[in-house]
Amino acid sequence: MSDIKRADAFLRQANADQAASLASGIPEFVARYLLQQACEKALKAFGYAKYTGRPGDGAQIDAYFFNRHDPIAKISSAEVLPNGVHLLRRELARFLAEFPERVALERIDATTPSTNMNAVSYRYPFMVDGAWTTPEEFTGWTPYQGGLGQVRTATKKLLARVHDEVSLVKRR
Amino acid sequence: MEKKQAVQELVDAHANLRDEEMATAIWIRQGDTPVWLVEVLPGFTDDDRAEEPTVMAAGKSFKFDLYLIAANEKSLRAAIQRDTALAKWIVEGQVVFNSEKGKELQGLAEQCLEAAAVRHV
Repeated sequence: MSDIKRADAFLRQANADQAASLASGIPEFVARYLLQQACEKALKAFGYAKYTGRPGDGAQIDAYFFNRHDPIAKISSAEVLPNGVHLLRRELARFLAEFPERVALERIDATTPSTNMNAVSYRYPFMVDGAWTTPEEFTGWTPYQGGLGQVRTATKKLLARVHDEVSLVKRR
Repeated sequence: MEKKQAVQELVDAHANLRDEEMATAIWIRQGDTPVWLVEVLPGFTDDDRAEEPTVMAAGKSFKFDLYLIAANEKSLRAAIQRDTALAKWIVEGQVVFNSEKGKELQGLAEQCLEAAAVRHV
């Protein structure tokens, strides 16, 4: 069956990331980074709790989902997936279809680390209009990731939904 | 919610997924506590172990563990021909999506069982 202990650990850390994002006085880029981390870990907790691939499917599922910073984007964008990964994508799509904040969540998921110097980053300096800027100086967070309140709401609701799913599996 | 209704809702949800054509679905082993489904998904790549189920744990939207045998038609036909247990389950199963294609597969499974019975005489 599913890897429920791992799922539970991922969910605990997702909750810790979310709690840290609420600390008073932390800069916006840090809060947003922590919220993206919380969402990423919660989605992986969902995957570990819900899904058991067939023997031999593990490496492929890791490559397309569990080892990714952007698990929704990666698994959704691939045109041809190994069959086992395909079923996880379908399960995730069904879960997200019932999630009112799905669009906000997909935006958060897509805002992951990049080595592209022109890509917005929570952690490293990057180029904007030909000039270097830092996450601390950047002012375009809302167009990039959505309003901070919306990001907080989507993250909070995702963690609650995943908590329910993990709890159901734990009780079995 | 009654199990039968839950299964139908799950299958309908699968049938309505974006960009995911489903050719048929058959509920097999209906007496078992987990739900066993066979789904034919044309988008799947060929699979020489299609009879092996993928397991999804029960959750809020579907309260039964799901054992899902999902494959494209070619791979499922091959699985039916080599696995008499699967053939028997399909014959005894209930088609819950696209009865024409489901009954066609049940016919194939029945033929496989008859051929296996002849071999054992």
